[in-house]
Amino acid sequence: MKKALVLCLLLFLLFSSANAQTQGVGIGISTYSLNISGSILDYYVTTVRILNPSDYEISAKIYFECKDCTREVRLFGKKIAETTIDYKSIFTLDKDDLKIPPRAYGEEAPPVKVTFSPKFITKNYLRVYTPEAINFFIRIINKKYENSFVIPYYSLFIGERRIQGLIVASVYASSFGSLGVTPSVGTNVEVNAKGMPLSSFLILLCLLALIIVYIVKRIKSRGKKKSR
Amino acid sequence: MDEKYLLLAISSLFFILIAVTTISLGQQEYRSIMNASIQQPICIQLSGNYSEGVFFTNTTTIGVQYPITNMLVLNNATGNYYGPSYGTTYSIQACSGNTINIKVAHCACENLKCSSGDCAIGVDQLYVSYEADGGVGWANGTTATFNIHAPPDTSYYFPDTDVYQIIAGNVSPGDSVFMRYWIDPRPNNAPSGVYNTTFNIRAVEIAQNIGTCSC
Repeated sequence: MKKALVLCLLLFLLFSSANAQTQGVGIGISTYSLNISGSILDYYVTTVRILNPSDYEISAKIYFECKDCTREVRLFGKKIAETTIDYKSIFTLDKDDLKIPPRAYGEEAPPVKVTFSPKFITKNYLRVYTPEAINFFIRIINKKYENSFVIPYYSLFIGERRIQGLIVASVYASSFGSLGVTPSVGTNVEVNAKGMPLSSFLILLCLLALIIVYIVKRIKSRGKKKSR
Repeated sequence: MDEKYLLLAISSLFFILIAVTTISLGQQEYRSIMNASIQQPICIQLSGNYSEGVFFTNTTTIGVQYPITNMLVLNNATGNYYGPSYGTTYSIQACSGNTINIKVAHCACENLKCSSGDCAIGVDQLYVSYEADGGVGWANGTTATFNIHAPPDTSYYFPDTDVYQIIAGNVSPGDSVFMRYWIDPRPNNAPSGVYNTTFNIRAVEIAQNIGTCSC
């Protein structure tokens, strides 16, 4: 009787744990927040590591998701365009795709270098929204045209620029098998970059103007001397 | 003669400089380094069933996927009651190595689109957001056997596609969030077939913005 009871208990324990929570995939980043401040002549490198708490190898995409890189351009209150700064003009991530071994914490976790090095000239994109009346004609030539076009342009980095967003590590494949749900984690990034001060830029402009005026005057005076 | 004096003056100045430097360095005899290495990780781990995906079945089956036949009621996800004591097998754990509390959000990349069957592939769809005739809903709890068996209200349905919705606002290190999902298929006259979408989970520190869902 006792043996039967013990057997029943063992069987119950076995079946009750049959559907117990098995471990799936996971991901992590070694820091939850990054704050970087500096100016155009600075060069800082910091490293974040991509962690893997699971027993499976994972492949992850690493990217920066910018919150305030895009600003609206409005004319009489109507949005006509958007300007987007390419964050890579301020800082870069050295990797965008990583394989992370199982149980990777600390030194075993692969590093991603975040290099802060603001450039004198920043890359930007201007997205111009065209009115529907014009879109009709453009679609005659290009059927896939939606309602905007993008022009890349470069500009001097004047003043201060704050960039906020997330460095995201997102799992897209794993030795676990087919993934129905993809986990990701985000590290908050706040970058304050100082470009050339506006006053310095104005002085530079004045100097350039003076030099040009001087050169023009010299050329003119030489011309007069020759004519005499 | 003048050159000699000049050379003497320069060499004297040089030696005075060396002496002053040596004295000042001598005063900073105990120079040491201050160094700190800080690691405040953010990390999550999904349960096995959750990693596989959320598969909807009918109202009565547990653990196995069967076609949904009743379009007017909430139909279970296979893992809703598949754990011990009819607990859910969908969970997200904040790693015990975390030093901060996290918030967790989920996002459906698209409505469930027809992938095979009698429905028009890529055209027919089941909406995830709530309307009077249904949607995809969820409920959360702190234990696997939490006592909620339907979405508590309309805010526990996906708000739309490509939008992160917070499913747990404050998860301490080592703690888990347990989830259950239901589908009340919308529209009710959706043609027979298999409908799929992809699904994301994201975690950030509680004070941070969850970001945008880009699939």
